[in-house]
Formats: sequence, structure tokens, C-alpha cells
Amino acid sequence: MTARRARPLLVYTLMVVLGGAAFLYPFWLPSTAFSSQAHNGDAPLVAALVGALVIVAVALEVQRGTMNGATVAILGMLSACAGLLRLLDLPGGGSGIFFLVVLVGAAFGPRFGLLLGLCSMAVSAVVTGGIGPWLPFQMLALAWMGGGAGLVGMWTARLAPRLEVAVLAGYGWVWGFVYGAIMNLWFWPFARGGALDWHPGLGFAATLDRYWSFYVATSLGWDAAAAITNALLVVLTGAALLRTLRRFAHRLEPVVEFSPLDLEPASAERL
Amino acid sequence: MSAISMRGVSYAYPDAERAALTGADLEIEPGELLLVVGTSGSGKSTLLRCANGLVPHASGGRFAGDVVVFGRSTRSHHPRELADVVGFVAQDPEAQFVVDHVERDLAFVLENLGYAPDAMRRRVEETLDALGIAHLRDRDPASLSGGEQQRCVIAGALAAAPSALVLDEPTSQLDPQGADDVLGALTRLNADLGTTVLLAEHRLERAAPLADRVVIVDGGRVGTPGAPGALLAGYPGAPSVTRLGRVLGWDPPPLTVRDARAWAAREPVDLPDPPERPHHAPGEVLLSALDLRVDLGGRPVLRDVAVEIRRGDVVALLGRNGSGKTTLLRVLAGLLAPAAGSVTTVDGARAAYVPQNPNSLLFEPTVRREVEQTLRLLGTRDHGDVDRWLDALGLHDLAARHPRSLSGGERQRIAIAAVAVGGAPVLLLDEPTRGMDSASRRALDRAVTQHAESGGAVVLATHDVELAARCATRAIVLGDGDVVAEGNARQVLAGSLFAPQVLRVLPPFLTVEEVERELTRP
Repeated sequence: MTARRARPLLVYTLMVVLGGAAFLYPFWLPSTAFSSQAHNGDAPLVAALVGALVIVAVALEVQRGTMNGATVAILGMLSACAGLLRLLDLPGGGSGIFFLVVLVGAAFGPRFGLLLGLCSMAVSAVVTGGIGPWLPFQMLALAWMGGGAGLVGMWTARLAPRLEVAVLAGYGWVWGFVYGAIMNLWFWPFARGGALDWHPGLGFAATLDRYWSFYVATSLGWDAAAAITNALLVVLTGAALLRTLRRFAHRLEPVVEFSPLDLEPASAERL
Repeated sequence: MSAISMRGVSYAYPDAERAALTGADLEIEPGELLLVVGTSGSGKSTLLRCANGLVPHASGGRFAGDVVVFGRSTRSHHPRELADVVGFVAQDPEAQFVVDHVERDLAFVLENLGYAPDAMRRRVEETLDALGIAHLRDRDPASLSGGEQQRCVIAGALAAAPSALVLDEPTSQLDPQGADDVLGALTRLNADLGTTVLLAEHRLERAAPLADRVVIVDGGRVGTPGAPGALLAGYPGAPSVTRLGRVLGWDPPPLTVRDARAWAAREPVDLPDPPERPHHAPGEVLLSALDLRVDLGGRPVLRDVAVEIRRGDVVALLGRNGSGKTTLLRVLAGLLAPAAGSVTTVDGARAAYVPQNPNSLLFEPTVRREVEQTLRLLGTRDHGDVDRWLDALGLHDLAARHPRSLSGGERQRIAIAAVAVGGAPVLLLDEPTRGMDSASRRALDRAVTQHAESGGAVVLATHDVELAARCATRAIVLGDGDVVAEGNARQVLAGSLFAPQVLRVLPPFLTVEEVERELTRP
């Protein structure tokens, strides 16, 4: 870990921690503090913080030369593509945005996957008109999905292409459920009164138990459809897209080795 | 002090086994126009990209030696820190615009360099005038011709008032008119502003006479720069008149038709007329079109055109942009229905069409699979023809490569192989030499001639009269949708203002090869 990498890494870590806190803090709020509408007050704050962190991260990386113009351009272009794919509304809540974030994350690494998740969800909200207090939470959830795909991709890059596509399809399938489960947390702590709802004072195990019942009753069916869509799209497009994306991967982070200046011509030939 | 100085530069791309450049030494003097020549893949582009630090900073890889640009070493300076002294222009004009407005695209460069608004205003005005594009200032680059686009791109590179311009084949995607405009603008910049120009080109007919010095790059080795005539005489991609001069022993070899005619007047060449081309005798008719009329967007594009293609024919279809060449090919291929008239093929002889832009045909991960894909789509099990076409077009060594990582000329050949392998007797090639280096051109010549000799026929829609001179048996000139001249290639080309170089010096010879053959005839 070089020093010039350390500061951006800190920003990314902050992004993940802050996002987690935004989802989970309502569980610790005193019950009197609840408004009837989930995150109505704090969503703009979360959005502003997440947005600011994205800008800080990119600015830091560009300034330090760890990210170049080409990377920023590709991030913008892929965010637009993924954002538009959200319009591909498939039966049962499936959408075209997820598989692309998974594949790009796997090809370009966790950092890029994280940023792509954040940016593409923001673009898709503008495209679909779905801007609301839920947006920053959707951005964070998709960012974790993309970042995670980057970590998986670091490992699967060594596998045979077909096996890699299979692993990533599995990852997309699992995240079909995980994404839904995370997004429920956006409003679940705020719902009151029902048998499946949470109320302050419930223990950890009881909370999990109740959430599981809530999840099975309300979300599982939808998320299963989304999971199948994700896996299917990764299987259909994975091999071709990964091959294409990886051809560009080395251009995103060019690694230069300089030989010493007083190099003998003879050794230059060997280069 | 040299403008750009390269000392012992060796460079290998990431994961490449072989170095793209080995031990390059080059001093570029301030204010000179240095022409870099070499085949595709010779390291020409890599050398150019070293001049502003794109190599190695944008590409990664292993780099030895040192490049010093106006006192700044690219080891310590990134391309962005050299943007005020070196401007860079690449091959494809369409890929180099940022803003969809010519004037703002120029201003964008200056904004990035932090110019003050009033200084920016002045630079934009001056740059528009320097390139003669002031009348295009409010246009969308997408609506401009290739030559106009490329001049706008050069203006963008020039806006920051760099002391040097580096241009990687800026005219290879342009028609002759566009190429003339761009090279004319470059000459003016070089002569009037004293801008140092480092220019790589394939089309040496136009570029060689403009150069102060030429340097040849071959297999990653950079030669010693020298006077254009002397250096190019032995180079296979040299202008026809230069090679003619070498064959006839003219020293120094001429670079222009004017010089060559002066030589021919001083030392008259007495040779018998060349024999007619072997396949002039027409074979059986493969395809005939009668009274074709096509209207596009309410405008007549073809008017009562009649064409007959016979076995053994290589027909050159000439004419300016918009004269209807591409439309005629598309009608012959059955891709476009004519408003009137008919296209008849004999025994269902198919006509296959290769469009101008090869990228629209290339999707597979390797060259071989790209060519095989046609047969797969046709349901053919016998893949024997794949190797035949890879060989014919000199693609065998590239069979395992990714088509999109290859040069424009190589991609053009792949597209031709992928279409031709389908077995259609009539091949319709639209502007096939666009972006081709001399090696690609020779491979194309060979493949075209072979195909015609083995009983097929080829129609070449082209601006490249040298291609027509080398291959064509017949020529058709279109003008504004009419056939304005048709007949034996030699006769049609001889009557043209745009005759090939050799024909203008030593009529009725069309090519250097014909002259050579007569000289060596016992």
C-alpha cells in the first residue's frame, strides 16, 4: 500500500461506514423521535454526504494521478449505460442495471465498482424520475454490490472464462436477495403496529427473526425474480462483456516501469 | 536546442513480448516538418506518442531512454504538463471532438489550460483563421466532411499555441480533397507560424513533397532521417514517381509529377507500349444492371445507369464524393431497391458488398473466427476457404489477434476476407484502400487480381486512382448520378485530370511495374 493510495482508500472506507450507519441508526433512535415518514428529514443529508464523498474520492485520485481522464470518462459513460438499463423493467421487479454493475465491477475492480454503483443509480433516478428519500440508500446498496463484485472479480479473473461467468451469475443471484433485504431496512424500522414490524426495545435475535418473517412475507417473491434476472443476464452477456471490458482494464491504470537513464543499448534490446 | 530530442528510447507495451521501439535516437529541429513513414505495426505511432508522453504514461509498459520536449523530459512530465508545447492529432477525426460545436470545442482546450476569457476569445479567433475554418464556427462537427472535421481537430490542437504538432496519419480516413485541405493547412502552419511538425503518413504522393526530412521506422527501429527523395527511393510505399525515378536511374529521384516530367523531358525514355491487361478479353456476364434510377431524400442519386460485370473484370468506379458510387454498389448488392430499372444476375451469381467502414462488420474476438463466422452463418461446413482468403490478404500472421486491436488497413482486409469467404463471385468493395499502408495495399492488389483471374469479378468504388491503375481492367466514372466515362481502364484514366502519376509522366504506362517489365524485356 503506497502512501498516495492511502487517502482515497480512507474516503472509500468512510463511504461504506457512513452508508452502513445511515441504514442502521434508526434501530438506536428513541421511539419518540420517529416521524411518520421514513428518513424524510435525513435523506437529503445522507445524499449530500455520499455525493460529496464521491466527488472527494474522484478528485483525490485524479490529483494523485491514480485515476486519469480516461477512467473518469469511462465511469461517466458506463454510469449512463447502466442508468439507462434501469428502464429495462422486467417482470417481478428485475431490472437491467444490476448485471452491468456486477460485470464492470468484476472487470475493473472494487473501487470502480463502488463508484459505478453510486453514479449509475443516481443517473437512473433522473432517467426514471424516481428521486426521493430512498435514492441515497439505493445508491449505497448498489455501490456495495459493485464494490463486492470487484473483490470477487480479483479472484475470479484467474478462473476459466465460463467458470468466472458462473461464479458472477451466482453473485448476481445472491445479490438479487441481498439488495432487496438491504433496501427494506430503509423503511422497516419506521413501520409501526403490524405483527411483522419492528419496535424499539426488541432484542437483536428477535429483530432478526421478525425481519426474516417480514422479508419472506413481503419481498422474497419479488427478489427471487430479480435474482433470476441478474443471473440470467450475467450468463447471457458475461463472457462477451468481460472480454471487452478487460481489454480496456490495463489502460485504466497504466503501470510504467522506467529503466535507469544510463541504460546500455545492448540491454535495451532485451526489453 | 532540438525541439524534440529522443535518446536511446526503447519501449514495450504491457504484456508484450517484443519491444515496440528499440534504441530510437531522433533529433527534431525547431520549425522543421519531419515525415515519419513505415508500415502498420512498425512502431510509427508509438514513436509519435512518445513525443508528448502518451507513451508511456497513458499506455503503461516498460520504457528506457529519454525524450526531451522543449527542455522537459517525458519521464517527469505527464502529457497534460506538455499540452502547452505539443499538440497531438490522431487518425480518426470523429473520435476527437469533445463538444458538439466547433468554436466551443476550441475554447474547451483553452479552458482546461486556464486561459483568461479575453485571451481565450482572441486565441479562438486566431486559430479559426489559421486553419481557414472561420465559416464553420457554429457548426456541429458531426455535420462536417472528414476534411473539415480534421481541420477543426488540428485547430483544437493548435489553440493552445503549441510549438510542435504531432499528427498520426491525419489524412488516412479522408478523401483526396479532404487530405489536400488538411496537408495544405499543415504546410501553411509550418511555413507561416514556424510550428514544428512531426507527421506520420501512408499517402506519400501528397505528403512527401512537403517534408524537410523523412525518417523510416521498420520493426521498431528508427532509421537515420534524411532528404525525402534519396530516402524514399528504396521504400516500397514511396510515391509512384519516386519509384519510377529509381527504376529509370534518375538521381535524385523526383517527388512530384512536375520534377518527374522535367526528368522525362531531359532524358527521354523510349519504350514500346505495354501489352493490354490479360483479362481485358471479357468473359461471361455475371451481373447486369439496366436503367437504374435511385432517389434518396427526394434527390436523384443515380440516373439511368447501366452496368455490366463480366468474369475476369476488375472495374474501378471513380467519381467525387456524392457522385453515387456507394449507392450504385448497394443497388448491385441488392441492399437498396432502385426506383426504376433492374439488376439481373446470371445463375444466381451473388454479389457481396464490403462497406467503407470495416468496424461495422467486426465483432468476433479473433481474426480467424471473424472470417469463419461468415461460413457459420451461411451454414457451410467446409472451412477450407478461410485459410485461402487469410493467405490471399496476407492475414495469416494476424489470425489469432483481436480485430479491433489492429490498424485501419488491417481491419479493412479482415472485412474483405470475411465477406469474400462466402464465395460470392462478384465482390463490391467500397473505398478499400482507406487507411491502408503499402503492405496492405499490395496484399489487396494481389487478392483482387487473383479473384478476377479465378473467374470472379471485382468492383472497386474508390478515390484512389493508383489502385485503379494497378488493378483495374475497366473504369467507370460517375458524375452527379450519370456515367460520364466508361471503358478500358487505360483509356478512361488517360483522359482524366486525375490520372495516376506514372501515366502523367510516361503515357501510356499506368504503373511502375509495367515500366519495369518493359525495361527488363529481352
